[in-house]
Amino acid sequence: MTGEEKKNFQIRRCGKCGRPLPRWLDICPVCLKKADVFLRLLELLKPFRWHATAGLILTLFLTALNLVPPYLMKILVDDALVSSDEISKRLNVLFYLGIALVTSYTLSGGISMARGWLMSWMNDRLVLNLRNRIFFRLQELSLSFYNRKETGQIMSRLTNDIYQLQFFLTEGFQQMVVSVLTILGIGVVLFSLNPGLAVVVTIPLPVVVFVIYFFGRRVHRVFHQVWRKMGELSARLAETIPGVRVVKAFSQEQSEIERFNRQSEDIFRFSWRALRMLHTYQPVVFFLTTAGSVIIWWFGGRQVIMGKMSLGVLIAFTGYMWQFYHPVEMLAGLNHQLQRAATAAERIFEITDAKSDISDAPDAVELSGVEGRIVFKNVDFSYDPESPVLTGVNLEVKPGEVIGLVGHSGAGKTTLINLIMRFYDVTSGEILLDGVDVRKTKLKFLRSQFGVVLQEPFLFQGSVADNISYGNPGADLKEIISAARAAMIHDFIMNLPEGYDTLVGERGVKLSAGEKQRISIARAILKNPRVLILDEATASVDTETEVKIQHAIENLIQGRTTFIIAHRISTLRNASRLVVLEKGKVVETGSHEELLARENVYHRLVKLQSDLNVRFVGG
Amino acid sequence: MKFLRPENIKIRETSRGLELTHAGLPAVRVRPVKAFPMKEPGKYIGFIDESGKVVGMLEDTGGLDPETGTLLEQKLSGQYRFPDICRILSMNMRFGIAEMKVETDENEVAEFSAARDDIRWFGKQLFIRDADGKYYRIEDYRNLDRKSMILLERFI
Repeated sequence: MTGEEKKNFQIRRCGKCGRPLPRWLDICPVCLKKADVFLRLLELLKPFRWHATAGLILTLFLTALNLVPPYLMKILVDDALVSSDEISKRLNVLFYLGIALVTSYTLSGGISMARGWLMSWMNDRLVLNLRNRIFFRLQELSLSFYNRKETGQIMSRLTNDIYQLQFFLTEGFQQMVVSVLTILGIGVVLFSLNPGLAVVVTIPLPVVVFVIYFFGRRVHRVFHQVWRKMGELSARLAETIPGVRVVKAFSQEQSEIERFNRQSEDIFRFSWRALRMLHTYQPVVFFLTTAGSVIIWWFGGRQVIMGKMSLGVLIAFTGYMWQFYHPVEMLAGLNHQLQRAATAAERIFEITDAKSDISDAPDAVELSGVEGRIVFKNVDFSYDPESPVLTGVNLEVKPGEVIGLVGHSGAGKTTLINLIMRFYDVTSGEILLDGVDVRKTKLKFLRSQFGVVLQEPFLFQGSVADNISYGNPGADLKEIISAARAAMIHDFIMNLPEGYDTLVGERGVKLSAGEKQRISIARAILKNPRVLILDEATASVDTETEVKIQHAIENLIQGRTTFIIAHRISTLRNASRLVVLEKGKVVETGSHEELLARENVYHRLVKLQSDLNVRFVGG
Repeated sequence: MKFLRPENIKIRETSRGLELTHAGLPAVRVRPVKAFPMKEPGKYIGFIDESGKVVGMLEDTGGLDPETGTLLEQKLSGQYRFPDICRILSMNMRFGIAEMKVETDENEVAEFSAARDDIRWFGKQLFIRDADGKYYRIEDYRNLDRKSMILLERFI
């Protein structure tokens, strides 16, 4: 098992308590200090503090207004409907009560609308800020961060986790405050109306809280399983859909369908379990809260019949009781929301707090007039201390020199390139660009000096012109055409129905491998880099296309320091010097002829390749 | 392929098609195409010969002799006709497909269907491709009348 594989199979444990971390989480749910996370969460609301305060005030008004109708009902019954006063006075009370009720509902509607607008704006703005902040951070983080995380996991932070937080920050937090205040407000009203009956109303309260809390936890646990299973299903889709060619080539459609069905069945099972629990728990809670009204009817009704309490107070009590249990339910359920939000927040903070291991040194400089001289001095590098990837690499590359990097897979060729561009930093030694350590140059400046053509050219959804000008968005159209001409792709583009405005499709799906590669060469040409890196640029194309690409490459490399990585020896024909790597060490350097004459590693590689060609051509 | 000087170009219509003569060299049968028909429709015109090779590019039609200019414009406008939508009269959305009835700058009422994938943006310019591959252009949809804007926003 290689080091990389070992890493993949290692069980991840919490650094604090040593418990294994769940596969889908990077944080230990046991050690998560919710209070700390909660405080940090509130910090996210800082830019919206005035909106949040206004929202809270409106919510409080709304809550207070909701307390009005039952009280008006009490007055209606006692002072208008069953009063012994004169009819004209009772009608007068009825008139004013009607106005009061209409006013209360009108205000309530208006405030509700204003609050809805305000909270929706805040919701969406918060999501926008948070999403942009995470994406900005993701752009800053180094490749080693991406090596540790799966794409799906990162994407889930930008979507699911943000939505989990959004609800809690804008609604959940306010609900918590409002629920507490509503309970207190109604409590005060109930006790002022009839203290004895108020005590009786609270009898079912402990049972209701107990049921909500424990039932709620179980329901939440099952919903959590559903959520996890949904995540697994998404991951399966993310794998199967891009890999559909392999699935079809190996006739695995049926087994993929079966696997998908199994996962879907799992989701159904857990979802059914969760919903079954939910639909049992809701009527139970409803039953318990209605028990409160039965108690009011029994005790209150007796008091009304015995003349100890007015009918209006009984009716008001019933109304308030329904309002009383709603916030109780809210508060009990909020605990789960808080837990979910805390977990989501921690996952988001993990990205926003992540330190990029590649960043500008305080004294980093920008070089003027880069020539492209690159020197490796005693360079060692390893991803993991136990398995070195490069050892003692010394190499001097003159400006404009074309270096062919040769070696078996895993010899360290691509790593060497990654170090020049500072995707990673050397473990020891140094790499100099025009005599300056690359770690002492500004990262953005350093990378602007490089042009890269990879084996799998990556095209973005957009037009051909957009893709060519990706590295130089300010380029004018004439420059784009010139780059395409140099990359030998101009004629092809002009024959497309919409020329340079033609869409390339997702990842350039509408183009062949050779066309995509020549567009990526045009992209590199337009960037006009001092140092060029061609990493297996012709490995995935046929010989005829390779010839076209080779011509394009000849135009591209003129006057630039160039590193060509290739397995095919024919690809290295433009190289002025070949550097042979084996097990992370430079074992040979020289021209093709010199290295062949030495009859060492390179000679062996060439012989192997020619034997293979003879066998392949010979059949 | 090279950039041609407009004053050195002559284009004429023959029974075999369009023929290009450049600086007194033998005539070549060509097909004019626009390099950026949407982004920069008035510039960068290419001439493609029968083998599909670009024999020359014209940066601008400015310096062409009037006869050549008119002929070239005629050919290109037939090939790249993007009617401007002035007003959207009605739109029905079904399963992500819009059935639109629009009024164009040619004072025509056109009816077509388009999917969301058929929308293309170039800055403020918006192109909608109908089911037959014909493009309609909206220069800046925010300048449309309110009703058209609301209808269009359901689609884009």
